[in-house]
Amino acid sequence: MRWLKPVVSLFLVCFSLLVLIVSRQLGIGSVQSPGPGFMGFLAAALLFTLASITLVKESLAAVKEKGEATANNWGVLAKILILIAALCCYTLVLELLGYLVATVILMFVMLYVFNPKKVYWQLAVSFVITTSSYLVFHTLLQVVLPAGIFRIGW
Amino acid sequence: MDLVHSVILGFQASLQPINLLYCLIGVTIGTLTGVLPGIGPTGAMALLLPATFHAPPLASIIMLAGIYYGSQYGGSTTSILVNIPGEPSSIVTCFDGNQMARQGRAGPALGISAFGSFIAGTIGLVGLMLLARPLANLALSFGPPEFFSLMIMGLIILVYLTQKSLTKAICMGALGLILSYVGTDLISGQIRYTFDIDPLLDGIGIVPIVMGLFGVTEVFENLEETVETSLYQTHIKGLLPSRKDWAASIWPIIRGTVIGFFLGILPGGGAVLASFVAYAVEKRISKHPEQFGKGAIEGVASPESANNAASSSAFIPLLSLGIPPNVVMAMLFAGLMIHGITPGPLLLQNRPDIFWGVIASMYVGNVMLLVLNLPMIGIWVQITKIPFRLLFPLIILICIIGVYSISNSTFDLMVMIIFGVVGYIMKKCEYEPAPLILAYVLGPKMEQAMRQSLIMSDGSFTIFIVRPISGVCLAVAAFLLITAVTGFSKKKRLAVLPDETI
Repeated sequence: MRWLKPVVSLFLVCFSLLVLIVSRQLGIGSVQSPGPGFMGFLAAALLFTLASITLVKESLAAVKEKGEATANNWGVLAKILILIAALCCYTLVLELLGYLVATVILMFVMLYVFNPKKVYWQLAVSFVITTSSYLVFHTLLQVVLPAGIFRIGW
Repeated sequence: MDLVHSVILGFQASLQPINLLYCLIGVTIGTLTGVLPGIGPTGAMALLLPATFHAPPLASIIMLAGIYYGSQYGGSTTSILVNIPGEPSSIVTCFDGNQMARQGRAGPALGISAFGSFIAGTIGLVGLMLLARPLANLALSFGPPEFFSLMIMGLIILVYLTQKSLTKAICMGALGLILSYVGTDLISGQIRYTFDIDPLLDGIGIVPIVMGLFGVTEVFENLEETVETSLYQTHIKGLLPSRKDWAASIWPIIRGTVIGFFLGILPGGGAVLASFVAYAVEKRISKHPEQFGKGAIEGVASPESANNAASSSAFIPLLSLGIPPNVVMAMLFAGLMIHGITPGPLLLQNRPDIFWGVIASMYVGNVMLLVLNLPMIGIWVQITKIPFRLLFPLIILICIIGVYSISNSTFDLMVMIIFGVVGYIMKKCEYEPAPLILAYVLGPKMEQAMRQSLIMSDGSFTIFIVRPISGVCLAVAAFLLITAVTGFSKKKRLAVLPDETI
């Protein structure tokens, strides 16, 4: 993962460049009458300068580290990726499946990611947590939660 | 209205049953937050921010404030009993508190921590009452240049106190400013930085950002290294400190209170810095410094008093100047803004019930915390045993419900996930989230102040220097930046602060 730091710095450089361009298009105005892109331009210029310095420093450091072995914990990375994927899928299907169905599935995946044992127990816990949270937030606190195509809820 | 009438007004407001209930909920959740390692007051406040939408404004702010100072009480419990700080501000409490527990003196350690916190919190509140009003009155004479320079100074102090990289901290500040400008420009009405994404027209909400950076990121990090809690097997007895304990602790409590109070006012300062400085001072002036780290009660009393005094005085710049001095206060700032209340010098004139109600509620909250943290200590000890494999999915679930409930939008959920991933990667690369949040909150006010100042001065930047208060603030900011860049103070900063402090 030694290239992660330079990659992040590069991303910040590119992002600040984009903001600089957009700020110019918006109109920086003049010092007497600053435009809507004025502060964004200043902040992006600062970000661009500092991220560029960081990029150079970290690229040099990454080259130096070339020969050194880095311990990557692929198992943990896989867990994090599964969790991110699960959360993204949840966001996409929440309004379609409804809160209860989508959340039981998400909770099961999360519980499994944290402790990949006892599947039946985790299914039961997912069900209990989801229905309890629905009771507390939807029924008691009147938070609007999607019913989905199955219209499950009370 | 004189001070006594103001205080009476505050108590009248805060002693309403609804406000008492919200205060109790706030301090209980705060203690819980402090007890549980892995979730800080910022995350807890972000989680509960949406729950306050339907509550009265004063009750909401009382609850959010309760979470903050309540977490300072609760943080010491795990430090003493488990040797894992529930909060960064309780890290130093581990040094002597856990040693006391190992020597069978967990009771006095917990007792002096709670009493010290109570005394400091109460004295801090008196200071808050006495200082907030004159400062608010003074701030009424401030113009846009003064406010702009004050905000710059606050940001620079926060950046100065970051541990990892000054350059990266400033980068995060700049990123926070850029993010705060997404949406519609209030002055020209022009839409900016939305990239044709319609939900961004109103800007990016602070709740998805904070929940992503502090809630989701925390869970990702804990997938890497699960904190193993190993409760030290000790029978907690004699929570009331002995006369000898009091004699040894009373001056450290007073010194810690004074240090904490003044460091808490400083923008960028706060409870963490206060606890470390108080410990360092106590050790330096002690007649037996060799006992520090081996169970000296002064090493518990002083930092615990300091962090509570700091959590009271941190309200001064927020309530009187409208400038949040740290990221937790930025969350409170957001809470006030959501309810249409603008913190700052006019708050005292326009909404004295909110101003004094919050302050009075903190007295009440401190008494509640004393009851919660001493007779009920056994319950909090049991809570530290909740398995993290259950706790972290629950945190994600609360984040989801909290974010979705704001505008029933899955777009906000996606923003939260993106910031969760961004926060995780940023932490891996030693970028800290605190400057981003503070800059995000201050961004619109800074822009307005800067544009107004430049219009006032007909485009001359000297307006920020020639006005005395503004000039002093910028001089302090420049001095700090220079010392930080030259590395002059780096050693000292590293000696005082731990990692992950701000």
